[in-house]
Formats: sequence, C-alpha cells, structure tokens
Amino acid sequence: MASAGSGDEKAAAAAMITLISSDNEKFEVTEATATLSQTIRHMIEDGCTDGGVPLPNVTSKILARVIEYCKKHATAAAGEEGSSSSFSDAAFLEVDRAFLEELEEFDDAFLEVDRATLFDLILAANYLDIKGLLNLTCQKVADSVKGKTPEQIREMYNIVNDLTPEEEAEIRRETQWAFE
Amino acid sequence: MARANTRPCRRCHRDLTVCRCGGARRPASALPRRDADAGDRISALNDDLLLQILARLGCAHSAARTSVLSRRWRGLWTHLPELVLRDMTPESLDAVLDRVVAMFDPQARAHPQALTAAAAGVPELQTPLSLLDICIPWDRPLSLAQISSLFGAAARLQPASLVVDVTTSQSGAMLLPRLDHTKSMTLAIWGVFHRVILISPQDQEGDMPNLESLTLRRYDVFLEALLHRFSALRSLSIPNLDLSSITINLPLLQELFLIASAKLQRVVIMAPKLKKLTFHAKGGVADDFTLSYSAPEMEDLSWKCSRYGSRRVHFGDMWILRIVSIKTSEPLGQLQQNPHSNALSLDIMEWELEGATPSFEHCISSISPVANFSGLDLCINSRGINTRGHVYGAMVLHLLEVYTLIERLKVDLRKYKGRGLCSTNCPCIQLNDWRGQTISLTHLKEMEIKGIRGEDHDIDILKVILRSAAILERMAITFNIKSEKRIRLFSSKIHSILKAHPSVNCKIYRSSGEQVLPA
Repeated sequence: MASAGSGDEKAAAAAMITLISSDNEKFEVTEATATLSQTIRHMIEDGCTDGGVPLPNVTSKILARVIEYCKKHATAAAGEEGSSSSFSDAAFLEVDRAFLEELEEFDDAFLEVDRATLFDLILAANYLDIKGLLNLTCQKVADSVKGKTPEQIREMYNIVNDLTPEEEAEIRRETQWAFE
Repeated sequence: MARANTRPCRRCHRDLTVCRCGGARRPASALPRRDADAGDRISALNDDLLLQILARLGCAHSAARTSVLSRRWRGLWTHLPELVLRDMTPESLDAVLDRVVAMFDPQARAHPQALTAAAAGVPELQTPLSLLDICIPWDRPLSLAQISSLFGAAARLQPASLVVDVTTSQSGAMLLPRLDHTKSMTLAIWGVFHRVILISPQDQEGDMPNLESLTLRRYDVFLEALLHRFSALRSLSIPNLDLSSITINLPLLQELFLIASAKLQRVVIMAPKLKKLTFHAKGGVADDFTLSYSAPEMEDLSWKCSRYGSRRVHFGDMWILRIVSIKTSEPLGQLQQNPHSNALSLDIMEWELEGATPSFEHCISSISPVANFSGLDLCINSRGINTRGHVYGAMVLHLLEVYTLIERLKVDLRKYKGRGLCSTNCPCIQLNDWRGQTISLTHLKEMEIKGIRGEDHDIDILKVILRSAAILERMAITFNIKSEKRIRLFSSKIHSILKAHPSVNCKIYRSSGEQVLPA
C-alpha cells in the first residue's frame, strides 16, 4: 500500500474520521469503522464531521473499546460484501464460516469486562446507535439474569428493594404464575 | 419548541423532557442509598434499554419475575412489544392468560390516543403488540377449551403477528376468532390421535382482512376450507403436507412454499399473482397424479419431485428416473425474449426392470407445471458396486429428441462409473441406433459435461451432439480420470472432432479444475 500513488493516500486520508471523547482524547478511525454507528453515519451524511466528532457521552476508555468492536465488525461487513460478489463456492463458504467463528470468539472475549464497563458499553452503543454492539451487550445482561431468583438479581446488580412488604406481596400475588 | 430545561437526565442521559427512567422524578438525595447511581447501574438504564434486556430473556415468565425487584421494575415487562409465552403447563394456562391479557391492557394498546388523554399519571404510551408467540411442548397437550381460551387471548390482544404451536389432547371443532389486526400467523395444532378443526366465523367478508402471511405447520382438509377465506393472503407456507391432494386458489398470493411428505395424487395451484413458488414432492407422486396449474406471473419457480415413485418409469429396461426438478434459470444473454425460462433437471439411475412402462417424457409432462425448457441438466448415476455399466448414449439422445428447444445442456457423469460388462447385444448399445442419429438441436448454445471418462461411447455421443447443434458456441468438458496418458489421448480426439466445428469454443479441464491445454 505504501507504494500507492499520492492520490490513493489522499483518498485514504479523506476517509478518516476523528472522534473526540468526553475527556477530549482524539481517535482517528476509517469511515468504514465509524459508520457502524448510525449516529456518526448521519453526521457524515450531513457533512458535519470536519474538525472531529465530539462525543460528550463517551469516555476515552469506553470509546477505545467501542472502536475496537467496530474495527473488527467493519472488516466482517467488508468481507461479506466481497464474498457475495464472488462465486458461492465451497471454499468461500469455508472461509466465511471460519471468519464467523473467529468473530464469535472475538465477541465472547470482548464481553469479558466488569459490570460498570458493560453498562457503559450499553449506554455508548445506544447513544452511538450501533445495533450489533447493543444487541451483544444487552444479551450479556439478559443471560446473566436468566434463571436467577429476584434476590440473586438484586444482589448481583446492587438493586435496592424500595418496595414496602405490602407492595412486594401484592406484586408476588400478581405475578405468581410467573414463579410457578 | 425551545425549552427552558434542556439539562439531561442524570440517569439515562436523555433530555429531561423525554426522560422516562424516573431519574428526573426523584432527586438523588431521595434515593435509598447515596451511591445508588454508582451501584445500581442496571436500574439506571432508561426504559427502552431495560426493555431490550427484558426482551432478550426469551419469555414473559422471566420478564414478569423482574417486577418484584423494585419499584423501578414493577410492571415494566408489560411494555414489551413482543409477548413470548413458553413455560406454560395446561394447568397454569388459564391463570397465565388471564393475568397476561389484563396486564397487557389490550384496550390501551388498540387505541393509544385514548391513553394520551388520560396520560396525566401514566408516563408511557403503550405500543401495539407486535407478536404473541405461544409454544407449549408436545408432552403437555391441551384440551379443546384450553386451546380455545388461547385463541380468545389472541383475539383480545390483537397482535400483528401470532404464533401458536401446541398439541391437543381432544378432537373437535373450534371457532377461530376474528383477528382483524393480525398480518402474519403461524399455526400448528399437533395431535397423534386427535385433531382440532378450526372453523371460521360466518361472516360475509373475508375473516382476516389484514392477514398477509400464513404458515400452516400442520395441514388438513379443514384448514384448506378455512384457507380460502383468507383472501388477502400474499404469502403461504405449508412445510409438511401429509395429505395426498391440495387445492390452492388465492387471488393475491405472491409466494408459496409447499413441501409434501405424502405421496401426492392431485395438486391444484390457481394463483394469478404468484411470483415465487417452491414445491417439493418429497414423498413422490402417485401413478395417476394430476396437476392443475395456473400462475402466469411466475418469476421464480423451484419445483422438485423426489422418489419419482413407482420404479415403473424407466427407459429401455435399464434406466429409472429418480428426481425431476425444474428451476427458473438466469437469462442467458441480454437479448433473451423470455427472461423467466426454466431448466429441467433429471436424476437418472441404472436399474434393470422388465415390462411395458410409461416413457420418461410422459411422466415428466404429467408432473411438470411448465412445458418448455431452455436448459436440460442430466445427472446419470451408476447403481452401485456391482454395476453393469450401461452405455447412456441412447437414453440421452432420446431425451434430446424430446427437448429439442433447449439452449443449454449439462450432463453430470461424476456418479457414473463407466461402461461395464454388458454384452455387445445389450439394448443399451443397439437401442434406437443412436450412434447414427442426427437430432435437430436448433437452439443449443452451451454444453457442459462433467466427469467424463473418455471411453469410446463418450466420444460417440459428443460427435452426435456436435453434428446436431448447428449454433453451439461453447463447450466445457471436465474429466473424471487421473491418467495423464488417457487425458492426452482423449483431448486430442476431441480436438480432431472439433476441426469440423470451428465455431465451437471448447475448454477441457482436469478433475482438479485445471485446464488441459491443447498439445
């Protein structure tokens, strides 16, 4: 790529976007990576990304993680486009499958974070409108809740029970069917 | 629209005017614990995000149990757009349905604007239920009354999509309620010894004016009667037809998916708007099979008949027809007059049988929804290890005589093990004097032969086809042999034949896919 002409370099530079975290750290990413976020995609379409995109709701720590996710999944999206134009040969399917497996492994590893980070990622994915990341993180929380008693869930997520005993008894009555 | 208060909510980071998470209503000092913002991250999520998490729990039972966590969670689950009921037993069914329907407040969902008027104390608007999905495993069969109350709940909730997959412990008839808002429905009422008959209400108009998509996992004659009252249907799927006959007559139907596991006797498809049809007779068809078919706007046809039933369909007492399939093919060139031309694929196997038999072409025409084919694909199989290895030339030429208008011919010989030990008087050689024939293949432009072994009879049939196809442009041949010597010998034979046909562009490949270049 280094041997490519200056025109190519210019095109590559033009496709870079600067993201600015709440603590004023700047991140340079390709347009393909950035546009996994619908929010940023709309900004690019509206032509208001000159001088960088400020993201006041996302800290540099979380933004770095979000970019890591987007980079990986942007190459996946590019790979899909590439393979659809070629023959659906067994060899290509094999490559696709291997790549999907790799992506799944990446996602699993990506979710190995503490709870605070997980919730920060949910908020960031929601704010930046990154469907895949929101799905992934919300599913992680849902899976952690599945099969747990209310007491276990409260403890796990520091939920303070602010219901009066009477209220709680009433809700238990109303939702008794769900506990059977 | 400028508002004085544009400070975002501390919890959900939304504008306070649209915040629904409750963070705005209670100042931090009123929270039970000072560090609640830092500690209870999950309750601090806004309603949309919490509902996203609740939806991913997979069923209403799990979601409803979160009501008891705290005030923040109470009743939140009733705002889910999709209601998925899984862990129900016949005993708990009525209680659950009563509760759930009451909690989901169908009146409010049906008329969201009515709620706005009385919205003073209610922060959210109910959205209409997009899905009601009830699935109860077969080992928990339901009584008729229970299935009926289940449909009753559906009628009260009026979901956009309804999925019902249950098993019955009783036989009998049941009224299917009106579901005016339902656009898509999937029904499966199973039962080994029992059958539920769904009856439509006796309205003059169509029963479900908005029903566009229907999947019937279990199908019977009573459902067929019901089916024709759903006149707005655009898409119909019957993945497992176990009756020997079916009639589909729907004026607006665009897409039909029909897989039959029973041996079919009679199929009627009358669908003036049908564009996409997938049909598979997995159980084959009966000898007296009849087909009535009218779908003039068909664009994407995929028709397959496996186990072409009675082995009485064969050719020359040595070949039987196993699978007949028809598929809409891509247009060959830009100037093709009919863009929706079809290719016929035949899977043929060696099988010796004696006695008078119906011909291949008669059988194909009796099961085929279309008559003209632009392509012919033949897959020729040897029977097994003890193969007699008949010569296929007579059979192939016979088929070419029937389908003379084809533009493309593909012959797959990869499962054909070559000429065996049949006698020189065997009908496979003598039949219809095939080596001397010329057929008028006036449209044939492309030919592909895969898995050829380069025996003398392979060469002979190539000669006949080249002689018969005056406008043949392209030919591709792939070997199924490893011996370099035989590959060279056979290639040079082909090239010498081609000297008489200079307009044909021929490419020869090894089984690896590598091209054999002329010496």
